[in-house]
Amino acid sequence: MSTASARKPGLHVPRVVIGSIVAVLAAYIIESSVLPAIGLSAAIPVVFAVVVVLAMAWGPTVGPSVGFGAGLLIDLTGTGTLGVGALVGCVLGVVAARIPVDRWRWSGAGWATLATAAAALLDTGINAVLAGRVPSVSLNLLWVLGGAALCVLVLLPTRAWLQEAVR
Amino acid sequence: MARTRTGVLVLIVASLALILWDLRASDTAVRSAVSQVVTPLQRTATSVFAPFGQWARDVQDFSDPAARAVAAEPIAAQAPPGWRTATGRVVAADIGGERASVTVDVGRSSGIQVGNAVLAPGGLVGTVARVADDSASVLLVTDPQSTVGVRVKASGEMGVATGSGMGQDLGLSILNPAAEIAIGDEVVSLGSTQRAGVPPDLPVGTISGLDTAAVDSGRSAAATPVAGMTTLDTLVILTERS
Repeated sequence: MSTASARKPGLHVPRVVIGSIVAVLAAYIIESSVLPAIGLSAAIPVVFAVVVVLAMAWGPTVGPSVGFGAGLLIDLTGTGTLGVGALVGCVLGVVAARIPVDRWRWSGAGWATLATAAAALLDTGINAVLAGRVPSVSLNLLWVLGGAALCVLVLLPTRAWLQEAVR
Repeated sequence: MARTRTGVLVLIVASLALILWDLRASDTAVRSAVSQVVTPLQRTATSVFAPFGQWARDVQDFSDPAARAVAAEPIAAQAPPGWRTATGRVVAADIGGERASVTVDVGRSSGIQVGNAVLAPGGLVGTVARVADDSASVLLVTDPQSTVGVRVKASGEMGVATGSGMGQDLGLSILNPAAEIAIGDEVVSLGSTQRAGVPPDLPVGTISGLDTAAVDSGRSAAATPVAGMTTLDTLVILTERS
């Protein structure tokens, strides 16, 4: 496994911070407002997909922080328990930063899709358990899986550009 | 590497602390502050992308009070006499997994309070779960966290409707094990005496399935929620009984 720590010897911290905030906020607006407005499901995990791609591009130091922040945004604006999204996002950042990649632009897409979908389902599942319910499988699962794959396929080619942008 | 591990550990501990804190004493002040920042962005995004979908139509016109009144007219007609109303527009949806809630672009400044009933063209679609100054989060009746006291209109039997997730029928628990209910019966809200709660006799759904095995604790059934649950745009909130 070629870890991301070798990819980024020195990151431009202000660019990483600003880039992360802009990317996560844009992803959140797309997920919560743009997708429903054009008739698609808000269950498509755009925010978690962005966390995965940023973690893959910027490595294990940035990934968990971005995931924590993105999850916290989901918690603060949703109906779930505060902290659940942050926890899931943080773990997602750790996992995504360790996805093995090579020079192919869609390298790691399979693991990235799985990680994104798993995070979305974990977020829902943990919130259901904390609310005293048994998590169940619904039609939204198709939106989560298909949406995760689509987001990763669209976003993953930006990984090389993201790496260059913060050098 | 050690610093990275320490950082991750700190974030995980912070997450767990937040979960425990929220489970013990949820504070809406921070959520309200975040809503004030995020909702205008969501409103703008909906405005820009509305022409590409059926969910939202002509948001620019909707900011005009007269246009709002016209859009709300058929919905507000269902409001019981003597109730003040506020008209809101859906600007965001939270439908991850089983969750089913939407955000509307009106809030405390329009008189909206937690627990207010929210109406769409078919009837009751949810209740206000959280309020900020200019936005409110509406827990839809299809969300598993939602429970609404109901009455079967034909027989008068009382029960509780619980959400089962977006796109799913509501679960009905009728109190009387010998209740005479039938598929197609209309289910309406039981209502409360609160000045800002859910008034009685608002359409909630229609019985779509019956569990034939009556048990001591009552009868189970399923109800299709009122039409339009997946195409919500203009909503009317019953703010207070005058």
